[in-house]
Amino acid sequence: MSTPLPFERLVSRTRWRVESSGTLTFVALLVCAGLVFFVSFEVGGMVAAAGEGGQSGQLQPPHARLGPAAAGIPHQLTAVAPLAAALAVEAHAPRSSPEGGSAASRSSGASGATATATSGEEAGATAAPSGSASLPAATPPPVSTPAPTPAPPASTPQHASSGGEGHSGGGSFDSSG
Amino acid sequence: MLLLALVAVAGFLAGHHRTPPPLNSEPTREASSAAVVLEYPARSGWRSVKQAPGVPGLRITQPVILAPGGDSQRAGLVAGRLVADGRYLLPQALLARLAAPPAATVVHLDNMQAYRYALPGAAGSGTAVTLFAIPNPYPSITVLLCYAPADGSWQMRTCESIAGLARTTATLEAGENDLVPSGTYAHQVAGVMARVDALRASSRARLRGALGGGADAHLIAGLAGGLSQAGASLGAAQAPPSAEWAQTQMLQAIAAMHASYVALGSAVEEESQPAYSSALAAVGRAEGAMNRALVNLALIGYS
Repeated sequence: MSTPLPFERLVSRTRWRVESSGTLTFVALLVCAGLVFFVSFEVGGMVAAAGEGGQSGQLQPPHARLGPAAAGIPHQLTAVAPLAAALAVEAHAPRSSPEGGSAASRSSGASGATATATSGEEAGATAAPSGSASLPAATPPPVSTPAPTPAPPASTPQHASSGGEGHSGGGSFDSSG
Repeated sequence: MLLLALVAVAGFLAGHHRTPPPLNSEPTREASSAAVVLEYPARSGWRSVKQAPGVPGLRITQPVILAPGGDSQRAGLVAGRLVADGRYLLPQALLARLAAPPAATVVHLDNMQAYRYALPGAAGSGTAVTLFAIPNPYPSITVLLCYAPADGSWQMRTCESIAGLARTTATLEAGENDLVPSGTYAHQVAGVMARVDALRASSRARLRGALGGGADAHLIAGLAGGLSQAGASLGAAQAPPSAEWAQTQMLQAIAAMHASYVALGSAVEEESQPAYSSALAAVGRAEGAMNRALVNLALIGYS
């Protein structure tokens, strides 16, 4: 038979239990608050990073490009019909209609000049006739595409076809400096 | 519960306003050449290599080359100096492989701005190519070339991220690296070019097959006069520093067009075949020069 606890001891033990329980609750609350703070902190950081447009190290967003009002500069001059390669004699010069009408009807002795597109520099350079004055050759109606240049590369566009320095087309990364 | 809610709000606010960690807080690697310095995260797995497949028409000297896992066959980054041909911002041999001048977008890299070009087909099918070009100033051009199996591939994204951290070794004066196109200047150039194009097209259409008469000399004189006025208008346009060299090219071209048409008119009036032939060749050269200037304008964002 155990002896009953004295009243004072009973009170003391109860008080310890109550205090111990309060401490545990307080610690649990602290831990919860810490967790909540940590999660909120990270979420806040992620939201801020997303708002800045990506993580550090990524390319910054490009500047605003030109608006539509500023656009409209052509990549090249509009292709036009070539000028006659040889100077015509006024008294005999036939008048061609813009639709591509009459052909040359008379020659003054030249072997027949060839009209060549002059929208590119090499075209102009090759348009020089060898003979004396002749009637202009019949020229095709105006075209919207550039005339072919002498022996261009297979897919050479007009915008980069002038010159003809004979690039090999081979790319390289010359580490020799 | 109220206390926990308050703690959550405080944590969110603190996290939202925290200072981002510096870029160099994580281990980085560095690769550099005389033209450019690349500092990139070690965790990217990209490594410096000696060789990479070339892009036809593009010759890069003093290169520094990076590739994922050290394998540069399918993807990589090549940075160095571009061997320019002196007439175009990008090599003519490269442009010749494209259907049209590539659209330029201005982007910020670490300490500089750059033109960014997507070059589909430049390296053949199955390889996407993005080129960053930094005139410092023209004709000295630093470039960073990214190539990968596809545009949105992880290799291309990583490459562009690394390019975004690149630093040029060139010393640039204030304003020299401001590459953003000027809307005002673009508007002025567009107006001048529209006038030049319309005048040239209408005059040339009427000149066809009608050479040799006084009326034709008068037509040519009118065209030359219009070109002179257009040149004056273009000269009055205030080009931003990034467009000054293209502006100079255009001014020279329009002056040459004017002079060649004046010579053509004189030849027609004098009925001189040699003078006519010479003037005709000069017209072709001048108009070719104008076309090159327009391509260069497009390459710096004016299109």
